[in-house]
Amino acid sequence: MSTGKVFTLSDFRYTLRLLANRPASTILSILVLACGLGLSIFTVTTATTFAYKDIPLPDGDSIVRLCTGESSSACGPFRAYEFSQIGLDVTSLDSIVVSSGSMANIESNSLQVDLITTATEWEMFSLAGVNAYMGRELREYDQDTEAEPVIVIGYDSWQSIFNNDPNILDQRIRVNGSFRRIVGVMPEEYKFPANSQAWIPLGTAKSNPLVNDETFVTGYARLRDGYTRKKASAELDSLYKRIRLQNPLEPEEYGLQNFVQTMSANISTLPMALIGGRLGIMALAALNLLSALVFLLVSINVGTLLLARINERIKDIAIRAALGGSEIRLLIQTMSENLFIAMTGGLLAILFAGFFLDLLNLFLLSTVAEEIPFWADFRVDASTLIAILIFLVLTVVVTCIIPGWKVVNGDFNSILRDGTRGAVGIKAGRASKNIITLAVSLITLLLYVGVLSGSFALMYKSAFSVMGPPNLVKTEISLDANRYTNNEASQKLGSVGQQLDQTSTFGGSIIFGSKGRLIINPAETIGSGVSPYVARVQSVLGDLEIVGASLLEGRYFDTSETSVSQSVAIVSQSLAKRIWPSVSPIGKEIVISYDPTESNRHRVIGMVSDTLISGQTILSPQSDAVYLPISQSLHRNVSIYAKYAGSKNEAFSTFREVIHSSGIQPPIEVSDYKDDQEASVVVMNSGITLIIFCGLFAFFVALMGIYGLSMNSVVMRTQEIGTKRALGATEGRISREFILSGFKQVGFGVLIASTISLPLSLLVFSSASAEYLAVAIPMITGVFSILFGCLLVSIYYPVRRILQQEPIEALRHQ
Amino acid sequence: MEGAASADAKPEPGKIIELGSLSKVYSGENLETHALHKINLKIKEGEYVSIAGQSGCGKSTLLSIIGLLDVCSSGSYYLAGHNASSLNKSERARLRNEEIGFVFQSFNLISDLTVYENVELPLTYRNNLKKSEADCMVRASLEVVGLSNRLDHFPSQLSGGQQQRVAVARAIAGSPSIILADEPCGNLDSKNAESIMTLMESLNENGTTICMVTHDPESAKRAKRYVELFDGQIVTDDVLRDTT
Ligand SMILES: Nc1ncnc2c1ncn2[C@@H]1O[C@H](COP(=O)(O)OP(=O)(O)OP(=O)(O)O)[C@@H](O)[C@H]1O
Ligand SMILES: [Mg+2]
Repeated sequence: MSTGKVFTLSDFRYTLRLLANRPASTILSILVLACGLGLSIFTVTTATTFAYKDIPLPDGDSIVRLCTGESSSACGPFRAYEFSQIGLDVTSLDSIVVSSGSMANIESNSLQVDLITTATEWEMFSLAGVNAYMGRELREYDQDTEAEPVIVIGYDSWQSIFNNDPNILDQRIRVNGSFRRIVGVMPEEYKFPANSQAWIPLGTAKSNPLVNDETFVTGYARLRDGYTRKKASAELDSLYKRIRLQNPLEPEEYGLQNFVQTMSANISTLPMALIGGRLGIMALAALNLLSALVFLLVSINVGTLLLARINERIKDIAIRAALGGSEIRLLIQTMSENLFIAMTGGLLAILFAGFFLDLLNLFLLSTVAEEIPFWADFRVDASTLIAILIFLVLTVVVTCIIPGWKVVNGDFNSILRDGTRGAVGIKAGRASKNIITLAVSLITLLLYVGVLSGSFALMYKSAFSVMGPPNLVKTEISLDANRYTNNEASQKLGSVGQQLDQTSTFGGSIIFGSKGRLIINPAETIGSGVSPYVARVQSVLGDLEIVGASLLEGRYFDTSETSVSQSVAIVSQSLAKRIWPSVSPIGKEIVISYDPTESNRHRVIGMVSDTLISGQTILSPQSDAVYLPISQSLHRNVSIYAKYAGSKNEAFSTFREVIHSSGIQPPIEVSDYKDDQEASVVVMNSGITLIIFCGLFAFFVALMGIYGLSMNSVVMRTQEIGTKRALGATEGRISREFILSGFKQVGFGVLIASTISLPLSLLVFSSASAEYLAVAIPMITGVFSILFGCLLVSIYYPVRRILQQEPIEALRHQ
Repeated sequence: MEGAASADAKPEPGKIIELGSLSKVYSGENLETHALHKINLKIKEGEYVSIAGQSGCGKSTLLSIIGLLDVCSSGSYYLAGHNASSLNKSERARLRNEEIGFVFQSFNLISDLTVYENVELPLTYRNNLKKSEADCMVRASLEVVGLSNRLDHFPSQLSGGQQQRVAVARAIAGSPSIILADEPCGNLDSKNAESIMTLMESLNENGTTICMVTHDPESAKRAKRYVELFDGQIVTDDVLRDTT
């Protein structure tokens, strides 16, 4: 032994032989490390990318989102009307802008693509502090009602759609069916505010609204120097409250100053606005917790697997120490095997994580491009890499250097004596049992926490399923009061509806104008102190049937409803049953509290089934509805739906043509209702799916770890099996004995884990809803049955393999 | 099990061990080792055979085949009238447990069992043995090897020679009809070695068949029959003392 050299070629060959000697254990260790660490990197990177990345804009941190609602809830949009009033008075914020983003269909030289197009106030660009790469950004005059329609496109669109055409400026392209002139190309990184690929001026209906209707905008601003978010939030909040008070809208607000006090607005960072809300924060927390859990699981699994390996080699190391090996060399020899595993596993982990992050990027871009943050680019960054390296080094130190050091510097003689010629040393044996018990209890604990939180994710998953009729193409338009008189507007809508109905592509259409949630009183109870009802009130024109509101009693609206005939209404079944539980609603009168200038007494002429459609979000379904004929209750911001049967693309282009040919200001957005609804929950859905997937994967890693450990511990006792067989133990007896002792050990681990987690269990199960328990209990049962099944196999299978050999082979096992 | 004996109808009455042209070949990846080559050996009940030969000549291999720990590559082996090749695994296990006591060259004690538990181990595999009977047997056999005062020690707390004596105690605890001992005195001083040899002789006098591998010519001479192996073949087979 040449003591001068620290690591020789023969050491290297010895290392390889050790690894090759137990291929199953080697591969398992590497896999556990690669998969588990890979998963940790994946989840950590995902979470940090969403929440903690720098905004890639000049001084990006001072750009904020203005939100309605509590800062702890989801970032809500503003009513366009109210927002336009706020902007005048804020001192803490610079250049407030509004925007609304959506997909727009772009047509150029027979090429048709959908781009995420943001309709925005022109100040957006100066707010971001970024200038056009070519041409110009949007300007104030672009927003004039009579201005030429223009569009600014993103660098990527310029590249992919227009092949870097240097003469792109001033070209005219069709955007949602009508022509716009390209006036600028933005630089490559610029995707503000919503992963945007194109920008058009915000229509006056949103930038300068005259009525306070249900038209919503998203607000952005830059914090002025010297103002904190907190200060700005407070200012915004008080302004918002004042404006709400001046414009009471929701029924609950009538005369209720206290209620308005609970309405709030706040300033949020862009990531927090995106994640927003209790659910979002919970999801992020779950993702972070999951990363931590997975990481712990991996550490435990890898640590114990490697420790078990070292344990088996303790005697070997002791012999080498006894033969006079130098400390350093022994340590390096000890380490080399685990170092190899750690490095290979770590490398694979980074590759795995990178691969899945790429997949995630692709997936998100292809499904919810407009929902993912513009700063999101999921990739493993330098700090993560450093963290991985530190982790690997720590792993090697804990699992190799410390045990190795103890042997080399300690009493290796006792270890040699302990060997008992042909038996596993008692210390090694005990240590390996303790490791398993420890690992099992930690893994059980983590799995338990994982299952409890995973059940939440599963429970929420069902909450995000999309309902409502399919095959509805949809758009929103607004009829400018400067352009159309009431009469003209109502005629316009009538002719659009007629044209849609005459097109063979569509099997009916309907136009909705949402008036919001209003107070409804049955005429007979007015003044009697009976508390009023609240329902969503819609002006409609067309076929209610196509949105799933089928006639149950009475009749639909028809041409006899005019602005001078008696005011009528159709009510939804759920509302009718609440107001008149035992009698028919037909012929009853209701009083709706809204614009006092309009007639507010309506005779009920029909009852329809409940439907979710009508501008409500799926997250807060509200089926109480009152429908009024548009001829009696005009609305200028409306949604138009048409039912189609054939291909979606054909329906979309026909729809666009019809709307366009009617001469109405071109709509920004044409979409499928169901797609829309799905898109609104897809981020949440994919987040939950991701969490569930990661949880499953973590479970898999845990199983692999347990399997590896338990298998290892059986293999270590090969000679014992041989001896017992030589003494006449039957196979059945040995199998039973091993499985029993395995379960005892595991049972002990589980006992420790359940004791530790007792407070958590008590907390969860005493406060859990039946719904949660319905998910959690089968989950717990399932997960732990699988765990036990895995254990059974991990003991039985290697014992079986040893028993299939002749006893002498087991006795000879080293 | 009754059918096993009639299969080849070879066994001679009174012969407890009968090897016919038995060979053992270890085949590795690229090297074949002929550990035993065409061994013919018949051992009568109550015989005391010592097996000698240089290191690597196949003594341990022979013993492990006789002890049903391994199978031969070719040839035949009858143990107490049973054809070894037609025994199933549980029958082999029962024979090992009740008929054979094995002393290994490397003792193969189980390190997390105490001396007492190690010796008791083969008895726990018997079906109809009462705990109290087993206790008597364990104590008696430990008494014989002089380790009654070490019942609760773990193997790692014993000297090499003491561990070897525990291995002997374990082999004789169940009063097997055959004892297969692979260098039972390898680690012992002359006094302890002498006591093991005396023990073997007295067991033999009570009818136990003994096969003992030994390097020591003195010990070898004390057997009734002397077999020497060379390169996997029997080169000497002398009867030293008549037993009948
Ligand atoms: N599992 C095995 N694989 C390959 N060869 C083996 C195996 N077991 C034993 N051998 C070979 O068989 C031959 C006989 O081995 P055996 O252990 O029977 O020798 P031995 O006579 O007991 O020697 P010693 O006196 O040194 O104990 C040896 O050459 C050995 O190398
Ligand atoms: Mg030998």
